[in-house]
Amino acid sequence: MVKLFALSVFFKAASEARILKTASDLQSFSFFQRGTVNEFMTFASKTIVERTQSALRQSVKQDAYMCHVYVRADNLAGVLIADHEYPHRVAHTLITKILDDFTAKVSADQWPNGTEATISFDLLPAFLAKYQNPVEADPLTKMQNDLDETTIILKNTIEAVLERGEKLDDMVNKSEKLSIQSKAFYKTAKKTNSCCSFT
Amino acid sequence: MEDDMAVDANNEKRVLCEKIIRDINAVFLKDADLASFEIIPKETNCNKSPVVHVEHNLGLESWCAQHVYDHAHRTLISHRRQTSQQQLRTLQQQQQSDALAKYLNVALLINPDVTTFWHIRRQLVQKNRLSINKELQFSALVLSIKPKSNEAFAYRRWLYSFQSADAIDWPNEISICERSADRCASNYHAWSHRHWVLRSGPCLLQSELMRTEKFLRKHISDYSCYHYRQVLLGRAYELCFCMPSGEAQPQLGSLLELLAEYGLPCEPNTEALIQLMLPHMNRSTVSVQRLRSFLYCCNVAAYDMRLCKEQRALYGPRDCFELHRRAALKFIVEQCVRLQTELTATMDNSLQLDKFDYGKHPFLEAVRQAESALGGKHQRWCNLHLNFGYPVAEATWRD
Repeated sequence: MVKLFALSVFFKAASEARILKTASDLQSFSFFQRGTVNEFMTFASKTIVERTQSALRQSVKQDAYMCHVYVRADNLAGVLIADHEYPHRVAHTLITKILDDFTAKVSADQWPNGTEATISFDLLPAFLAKYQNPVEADPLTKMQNDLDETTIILKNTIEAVLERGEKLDDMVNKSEKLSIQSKAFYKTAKKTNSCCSFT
Repeated sequence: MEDDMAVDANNEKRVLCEKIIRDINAVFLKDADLASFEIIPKETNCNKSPVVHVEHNLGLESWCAQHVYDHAHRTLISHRRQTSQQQLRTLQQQQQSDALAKYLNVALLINPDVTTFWHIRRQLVQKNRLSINKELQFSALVLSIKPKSNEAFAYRRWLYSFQSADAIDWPNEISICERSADRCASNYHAWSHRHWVLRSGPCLLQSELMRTEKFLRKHISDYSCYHYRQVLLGRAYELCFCMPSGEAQPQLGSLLELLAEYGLPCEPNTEALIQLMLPHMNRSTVSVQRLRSFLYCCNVAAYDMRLCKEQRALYGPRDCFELHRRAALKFIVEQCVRLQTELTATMDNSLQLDKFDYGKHPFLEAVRQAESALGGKHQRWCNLHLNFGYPVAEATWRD
C-alpha cells in the first residue's frame, strides 16, 4: 500500500526533541487502535529525531512502516511516517519542503520554547492529504534535483537507531508519553507478531 | 470444601460471562448501524464493563474474550446435542433459538472460523428466526474484524440466493469487497467474492474499471487487483461493452499514443485505426458493435500499459507492473489475431497463434519488433505466449 500516516515537525534541543506540530491520518487502522497508534508514532518520531545527528537524513524501517527523518543543521527536524512502498525520494523531498515552509511561517526564535498550541502552522493536514498520491509530488522532485539519494542512511529497525545499551522494550516501559493501554497494545502486538504491530 | 469453592468460582464466571454476552446483545439491539468490532488488548479486569461502544464501533477487552468465547461455545454445542437427541416441541425450540442468536453473535465475532456456528445461523434463517438484512449486517461486521473470512463471504452469497437480483444493493457489496481488500493484501476471498458480484450483478464494468484503477494506484504490489482488472477487461470484450453511444467520438487517446510509440502514427478516427490494426479482417463477419468494443477494450489495455510504465518510473521495477503490462499486451495481440483469423464466431480458447504469420501484418510486426528490445526474459515470454518467434540463443535459456 502507498500511504502516508503522519507528518511532524520537531526542534532538536540539546537534551530532547520538542514536538512543534504534527498531523496524522489513521483511517486505515481499526477504531480502538487509533489512539495507541498515534501515541506510538509520536513516540517513534521523537526517539528517532533524538538519535539523528544534525544535517543528516535517515529512513528507518519498522515492520511495514517507514520512518523518514531529516534533521537540519539549525536543529529543525521533520519526520514523515509512511508505508514502506511510499517512494523514499518523494518522502525526503516532502520533508525538505515542509521544513522550508515552516521556517518561512514561524520565526526561529519561537522554536526552542514552542509547543503545538503556541505555534501557528496549519499546513500539515493539507500536505498529508495532498501527498497521499506521490505523483502530486512530481513537480517538487523535479525542482529539488539536488537531493542526493545516496546521502540517505537506511536502517532496518528502530533498534538499529538506538544508542549502545538502549533497548526498545525498556524505553517503551519507561516512557511517560505512552498510556497504560498503549503499553498493553505493544506487548500483545509483540507477542502475536500480528499485522497490527506498531512503529 | 474445596469442591464447593470451585463450584462457586465456576458459577461466578458463568454469571459474569452471561452478563457480558447480555451487554453485547444490548449494543446490537440499540445500534442498528454498528460498523466494526474489535478486541482491545487489556490484560486486567478494571472492574468495569469490558464492552466498549463508541460511535458505532464495538470493542471487547481482551482479558475476558477467552472466557466469554468458552462459555458461548459450550452453550451452543450443548444446545445442538440436545436438539439432535430429543425432539423438542416446536414452541420450546423457537424460544431457545431466539436465545441462541446472542451466543452465536459473540462466538462468531471472537472466532469467525467455526463452520458449525455459521451453519446454525443458516438453519435459523431457514426457520425465519433471523432476518436476512440483519444477517447481512452481521456478516459485514465479522468482515470488519476478519477481512479474510471466507465463511462470511460464503454466507453472504448464500443469503443472496433467497433474494431477487433487483433487490440486492450491488454497489454496497463492491464496497465491502474493496474495504476488505484494502485492509488485507492479497485477499483471495474478497476478490473472488467480487468476481461473483461481477458475474451475478448488473453491468458494473465502467465503474469497476474506474475503481480498480484507483485501487491499484494505491496498492501497487497487490496482484489480486491487477488480475481482477484483467478479468474485467476480458469480460468487457466478451459482452461487447463500450462507452454508451451518446458520445460521438469514442475516447481512444491511449491507443493512438501506444501506436505512435510503436512507430505507427495514425489518424484519430475509428476507420483509420481499424485499417491499421485489422487490415486482413473480413468485414462482413464482424459486427459494428464488436469493432467498437474491440477499440474500446484495446484502448483500456493501452492505457494500462502506459500506467505500468509510469508506475515503474515512480516506484522502480516490480513484478506486478511487468506482469500486468504483459497481460495487456497479450490481450491486444490475441484479439487482433482472433478477429483476423475468423475465429470470432466460436470464441474458442484454442487460439492457434502458431499458425499466424506476423510478417504479413504491419501492426503486429511493429509490435514484435519493438517488444524485442525489452530483454531476453521478455523475449522468451513473447515466444511462449504470443509465438513471436524471436531467435533465442541456447545460452540465454540458462540465465
